[in-house]
Amino acid sequence: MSAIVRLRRGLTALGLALALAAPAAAEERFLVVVGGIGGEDYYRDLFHRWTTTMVDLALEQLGFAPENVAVLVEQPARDRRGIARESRREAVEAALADVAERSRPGDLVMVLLLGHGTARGERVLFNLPGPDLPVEALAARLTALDGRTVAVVNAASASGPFVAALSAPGRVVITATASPAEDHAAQFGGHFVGAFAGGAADADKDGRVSLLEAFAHATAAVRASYERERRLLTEHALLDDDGDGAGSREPGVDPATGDGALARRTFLAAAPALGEGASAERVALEVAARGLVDRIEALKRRKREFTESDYLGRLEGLLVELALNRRAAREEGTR
Amino acid sequence: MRPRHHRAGGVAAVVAAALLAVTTPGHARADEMARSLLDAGQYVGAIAAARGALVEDSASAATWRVLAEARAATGAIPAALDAYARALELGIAPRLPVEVAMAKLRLRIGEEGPALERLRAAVDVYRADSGVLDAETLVAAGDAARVLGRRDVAMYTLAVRIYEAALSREPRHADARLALGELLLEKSNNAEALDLFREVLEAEPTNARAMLALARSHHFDHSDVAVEVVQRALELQPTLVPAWVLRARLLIETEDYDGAETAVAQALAVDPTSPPALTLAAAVRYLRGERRGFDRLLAEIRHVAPGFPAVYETLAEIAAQNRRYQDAVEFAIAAVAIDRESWRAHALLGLNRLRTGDIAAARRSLDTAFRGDPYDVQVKNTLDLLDRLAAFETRTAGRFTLVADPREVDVLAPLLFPVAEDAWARMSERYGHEPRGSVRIEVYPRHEDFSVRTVGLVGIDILGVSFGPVVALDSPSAEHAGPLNWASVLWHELAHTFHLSMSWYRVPRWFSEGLAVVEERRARPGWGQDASPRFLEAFAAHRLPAASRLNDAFLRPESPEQVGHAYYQASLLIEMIEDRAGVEGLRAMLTGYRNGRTTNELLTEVLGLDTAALDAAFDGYLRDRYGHALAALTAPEEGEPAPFPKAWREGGEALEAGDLDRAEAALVRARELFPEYVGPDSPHHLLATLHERRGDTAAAIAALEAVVAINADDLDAHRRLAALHFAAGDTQAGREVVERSLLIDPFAIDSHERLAALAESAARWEDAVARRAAVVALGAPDRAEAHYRLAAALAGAGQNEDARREVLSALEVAPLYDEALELLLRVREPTPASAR
Repeated sequence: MSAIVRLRRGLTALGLALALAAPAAAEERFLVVVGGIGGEDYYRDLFHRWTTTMVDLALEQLGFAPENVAVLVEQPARDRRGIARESRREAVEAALADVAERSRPGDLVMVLLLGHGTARGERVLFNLPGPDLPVEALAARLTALDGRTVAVVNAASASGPFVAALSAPGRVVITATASPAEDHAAQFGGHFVGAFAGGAADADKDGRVSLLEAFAHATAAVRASYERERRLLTEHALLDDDGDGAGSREPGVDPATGDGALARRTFLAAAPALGEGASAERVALEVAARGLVDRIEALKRRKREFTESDYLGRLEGLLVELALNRRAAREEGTR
Repeated sequence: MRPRHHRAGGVAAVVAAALLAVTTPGHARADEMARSLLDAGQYVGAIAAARGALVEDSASAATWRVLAEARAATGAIPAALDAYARALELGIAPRLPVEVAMAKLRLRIGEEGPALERLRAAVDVYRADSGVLDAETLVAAGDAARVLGRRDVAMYTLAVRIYEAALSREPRHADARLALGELLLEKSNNAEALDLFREVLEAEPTNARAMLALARSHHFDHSDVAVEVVQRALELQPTLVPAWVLRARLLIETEDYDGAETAVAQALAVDPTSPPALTLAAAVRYLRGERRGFDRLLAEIRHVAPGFPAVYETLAEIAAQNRRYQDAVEFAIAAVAIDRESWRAHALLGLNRLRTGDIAAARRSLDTAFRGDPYDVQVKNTLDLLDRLAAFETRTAGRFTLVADPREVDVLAPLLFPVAEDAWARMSERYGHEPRGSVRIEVYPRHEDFSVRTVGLVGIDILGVSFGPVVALDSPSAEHAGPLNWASVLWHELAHTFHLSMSWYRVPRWFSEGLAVVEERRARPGWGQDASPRFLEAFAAHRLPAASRLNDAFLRPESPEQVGHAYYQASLLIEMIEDRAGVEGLRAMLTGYRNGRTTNELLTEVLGLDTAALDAAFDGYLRDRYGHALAALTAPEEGEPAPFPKAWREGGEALEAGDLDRAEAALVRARELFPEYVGPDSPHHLLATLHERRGDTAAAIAALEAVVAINADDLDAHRRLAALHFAAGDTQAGREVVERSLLIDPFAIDSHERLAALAESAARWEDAVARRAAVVALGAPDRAEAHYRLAAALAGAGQNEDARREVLSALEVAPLYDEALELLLRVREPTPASAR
């Protein structure tokens, strides 16, 4: 078999492996970031900072195409990039309609709401300048995104009811609070945005932060912050991605079932690609590495079936193979 | 017992009315007078009047009953039973209250069989037809059920139902309300009991029994008000024996044994065979170490009241209150031996076995107690605690066993054991004494659990306790008012372990607490309390007790603040004693207490000072020591600010305004006036801020060093100080400060990481392993990195097998973690022969 053929097969195999990782194979990635009304200078500044930081990260580190990023803030004049629009309800809905128009099934659409929320009886709202955004309006806009992988993060206070209202198959819904009663200004949003800066949130060290990792990072940071301030924790974030309408506080604890499985495979950053002209050997190594990681994940799911020493022995065997693979890939890369 | 008819004006009015009845022709009836005298507690007069009435009309059942009740109240039990029997023969109505009263007296004198039979019959009367019974009869049936409840706990529920039936029959029936309240209080439902007592007192403000019940309720809540309220009960009825008994109990609890004996004597003057009064008389003998008198009184109780079940239970309670836990165990064993169905005795046995560290036996006793009486709150709480304790993990080093939450045990153990060992070595040498056996140290993340461990109930407001061989502490993770140095708390409690052992558990609170604070202060800079302005203000205003009355501040504090002051004041008194008599003086006092000597005797012997001289000497000692601070806190003129607050405020305001030179001048002046003050935003703190603003790191360090040298609880000062040392490049000093900060906050991941990084850079691998292990145990958010770094430290320490396990943990989370994969390959490589 010629080297070219081997290379083509390798690329095909790599593509297959990445495709198996579902959303990571999204053709296009879209981001709608909405900064809500602050109500006072402190929160006005805070929400603006969170919003623009997310946009900076999307454009500068996560590789989003500028035309795929919509940013809406309370004070667009403060946006140094000059791309922000005022976050009025009609503008938010227009941005979502635009994404629905331009995106295709298989794409990733991320909607991030940073601000305050309110819940009065049946009325569950994200607070905007002018009319607020009711959860029903958002839900209606999301129906136009069927077939896409949709992630909605409402980092507002009293955001818990968004989980039940927005939950659907193929959709990740994250809220800063577990219930409408948790109506103090939430810290979650800042920590969630911060998860995509630097590598601290990358728990599995694969070079990318999944939504599950960002959620875990943010909830841990919120908890630590409240403990540091010796305050009772008044925000308990939820994640739902199995479409059952009930969020989990600790998603992903059991990797095989329940919430967390989709969020674990959903990344804002594009999948790392080998540079053009990568050798066939290098590609083969990458494919083999992916296969080993898949086998390791499969072994972890079956952990309970083994004795501890048997499990560790099997794990070590796979990891040694992976370690040798990575060493070989580095050496191949330096040639 | 029939309802008492209390009239406004108390005893005097009742007696006056009775006498008026005797002396007013046409109204004089001896039987009525007898009843009035009985209700007023004039038992001797009531007996005389009843006898007189019976001369005139020997067929009066009601008068025989009055005679019986008066005789019972004066301890003439057989005579009382005779009189009750006559009343029954003569057709007293209703009969049941008399029958129940007789049964209770028979129980007291040991005629258990017939008594229990009669009580069961009384309950059966209620069960047969409660609809026709009057309130008085219902109360008697309820009393019967309550007595039977000691053995058959279902009877307690029935008693409540019967009392409630009595109240629906007659809503204003005071005895029913009181009986129900007393039962609820007995079962620790003080909130409802208190309401009932207050309702009675609102209707009948002179009801002495209700006043006594209210005092018991306050006593249950450990409220000082109990003393005052029991006094009011005694003013209403000076012959109320249970009130004298409660008064004696309260006095015993404040170690006023002379006063307790006086109260007991008052009770015995009314009822010479009162079993509770005789029990407290025995308790005082026990506490004074008068073995012969104690044995004689126990024999007397056995003789006059062989059926009194509570004697050893009361002694067990009092022994435990006085920290004599082993004695409490032995009393409880005696109580169980007398009555195997005394669930309270089993409970006391379990609770005190727990305090002496015999956990398995404690569990068995508590299980028995709970099976017999599931309404005992202490037992229920403690069993729940033991269930949680079963999930705790233990670590052992030498004589010490640490029992802690699994999430905390591996962080605490490496920090706690060296402190405990150091404390043990230093105090063994200082006291020339070493307690026998091992020491169990329990650390509770939930303050409620610690509280239950200490007293069986929630709500105790302390941080640590020493039962001798068992020390229990709030974990640093428990809710506190603010940061505190938990290692100093451990040291304090271990000091108590020495004091208890050396004095055979007879050391008084003031001495042991004061000495434990002194031991803290001797242990490390900044440990132990320091002088606060409020303490000095209290001293200047003569609000502190005299040295000779210091124990009262522990046992009968007037406010929570006074307790805090008492610890500090006691520590200063101990320092004065040590200044004058050396550590030998302290040892002599501890051994003197063991030999039954009193504080006054020992101070006279050790210091050569009588009470008045001691008080004067201590006052002078405080003035010498804090004269400068007192002057700084005293206003020179009316309306003028005192020098220290004036300079401090000026400095703070200037600092805020950015006038650093003026701020420095004022703050330096304030610091000179009262250098010991290191509370929040003290002149030292503000000077540190000022120097930082100027960029004078050395001066800022000096200011914060002064803070932590006096107050080792100040976490923020430690953190600032460490950062300054590191910024100045003094890694060694920074490291030492971070290490000290772990004794305030051992769960600070960043502190462990900082120390680990320092250890790694210096190739101190054992230290690095300990710190990295703590990071893992603390659940660092980045689990993969935490395990990887621990693995790397283990590899550095040559522990490749452990490193391999840890790196697998890292890679299980993060399979593509390049550094961890490389480490895995490295630790699997065979060690070169030359390195073996």
